Amino acid sequence: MSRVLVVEDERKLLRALERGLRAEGYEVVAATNGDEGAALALAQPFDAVVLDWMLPGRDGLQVLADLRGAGRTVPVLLLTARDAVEDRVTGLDAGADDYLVKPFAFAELLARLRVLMRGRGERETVLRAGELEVDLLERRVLRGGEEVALTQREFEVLVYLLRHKDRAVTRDMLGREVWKEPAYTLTNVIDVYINALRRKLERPGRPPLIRTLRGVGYSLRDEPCD
Amino acid sequence: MRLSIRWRLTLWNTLALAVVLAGFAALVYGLLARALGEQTDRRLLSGLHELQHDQRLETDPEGQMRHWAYELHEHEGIFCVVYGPDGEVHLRTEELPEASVPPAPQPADGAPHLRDVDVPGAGRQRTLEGRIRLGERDVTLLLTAPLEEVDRELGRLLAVLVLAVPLALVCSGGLGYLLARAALSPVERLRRSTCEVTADRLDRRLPVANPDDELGRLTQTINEMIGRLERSFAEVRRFTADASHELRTPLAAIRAEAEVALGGALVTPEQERLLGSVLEECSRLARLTDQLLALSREDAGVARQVREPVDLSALVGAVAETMRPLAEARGLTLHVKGPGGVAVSGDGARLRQVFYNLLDNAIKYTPPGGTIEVQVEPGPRAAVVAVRDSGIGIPEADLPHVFERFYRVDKARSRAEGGTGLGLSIARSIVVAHSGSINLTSAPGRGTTCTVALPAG
Repeated sequence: MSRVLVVEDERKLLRALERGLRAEGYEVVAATNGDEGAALALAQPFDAVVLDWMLPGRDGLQVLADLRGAGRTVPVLLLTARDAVEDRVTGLDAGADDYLVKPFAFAELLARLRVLMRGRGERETVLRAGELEVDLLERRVLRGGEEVALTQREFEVLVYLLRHKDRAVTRDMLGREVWKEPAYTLTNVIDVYINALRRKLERPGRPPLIRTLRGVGYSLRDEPCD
Repeated sequence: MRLSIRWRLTLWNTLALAVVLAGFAALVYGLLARALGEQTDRRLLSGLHELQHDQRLETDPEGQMRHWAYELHEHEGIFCVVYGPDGEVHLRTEELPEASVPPAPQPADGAPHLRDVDVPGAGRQRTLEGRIRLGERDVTLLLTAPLEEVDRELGRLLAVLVLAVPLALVCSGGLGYLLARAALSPVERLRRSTCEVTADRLDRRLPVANPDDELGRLTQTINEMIGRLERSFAEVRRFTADASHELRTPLAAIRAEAEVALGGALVTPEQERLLGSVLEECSRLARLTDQLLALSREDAGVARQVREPVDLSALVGAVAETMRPLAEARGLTLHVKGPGGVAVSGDGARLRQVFYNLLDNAIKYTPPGGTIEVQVEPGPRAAVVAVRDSGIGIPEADLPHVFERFYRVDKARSRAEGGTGLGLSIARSIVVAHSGSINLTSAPGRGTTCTVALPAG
């Protein structure tokens, strides 16, 4: 079981993160200020640290400096309410592995944490979900053995959904990761792509492949083969 | 047209000098004219005086008179005319041409009388009439001196003045211009260094050479102004940082709580609907917060000033290609026209945002079957991008307001489309921050054209 340290002074947010991460199967240790967070992070082993920037006592950057100064390479996901480019650069320069601007989607936090903890392990070259098969090297999509023609962007969206199958994927995540555009810019465009993918990949009479999660985003279901 | 201070100083200087020189020239001319006139008068008077006191004119009137006529002409350039009692010329200097003899003076009281006479054909003359005793009789004597010489002298002076005064004016104007330029060059330097102090470099102050002279005081005033600007910019920066923290933190809590609850095991469909709705509003608020903060940063000029060469054609093309599926899904045709390689200088990410917002609007407000045309045109000073749609248009009364924050032409429709009412405001702020301009023209029912001009890079 992966251990995650969450350092956040906003109690409601902290409680929600704790509960959500536990539901996802993580072992969660919580701290509400920088001093406590730094002490915990230095004393115990963690697979990842979720660290708020603005904290009473030692702020997030100082905690980060303590950790890196002590030679800890544990992946750190910095949470912040600052979205200016300079702030992002400052955070990453200080040794954060990733950076998430509030109010983030919990689904995105989970996705980032998974990426941070997976490290630079081997990536699969064939992604599968139910009877869907995507060959990344040959850029081929097969549905039940039949090839489906997708445009470049449709392919990228599908791959992203497949990499996070059975998980919620927000429109912001898709916009940032596939189009490399900032949040909110492409909301409507993304919906068009999802509809196109549904048209091309879903069969009538079968449960939908891509589900819409109201208020959250989309989720590609790894339906069991029958 | 307003002239520069340099030219105005020079002009006023020259004008003042022209007045002074003209007055001076008039004075010199007048003094010389008077001196020459007095000299002539003295010559005439002393001639008369000698004649009146010559005893020999009584003993040998004819001979002595001729002698005098000769003498006066030879030494003083004065002609004599002696009139008979009836005004006829009794005797005259032989060298005096017949035509130049002034008419006989009116019989007078006998006192010497000076006059200017214009004799036709002989020019101006100064005459002195008086009475002398010639033999047994008192006769009228007229001494006349041509003013030709005097006039020539005065003419020469006038010529010198007419030439010298304008020359002096030109010289002084040139010198004055150089002086004004030298005196004003610190102002120009001050202007340039003030220009260099921009939103990014407000921590700089202008050097003060001499705190007590006029420019020194001006520089100090400008420095104080920069100081105030710096403080207010810092306040905006701090405010947006604080505001973003204060607004985003509770939003983050709501969003995380709702999302985690939604992912919980025992959620009824009704709860799912409810939480989904909360999350939707949360996203809208988050988006609004983002945009408002971005706008206030942009408007306060505290946004990071990135100036890189940007291929506007490629940028607009890429944005249009990204938006094309959306346009086509709504049954619209999207055309991109214009040459490639149109360059501007700016921040690519922010400029992309401008065209995303414009295209988003065009797509929203064009009914199915319509067309949207994006045209990039290079220009010598500015590159222009026009986004033309065949949409519903904007009523004339609304046009002046569409760039205002939260201004919506059709409120119900705009909200239903998920707009925040800030898209155009943001587009304008970004364009203005790039020293460009943005304009909308519209024909209700026929379409809208938005034109963005950006300084050529």
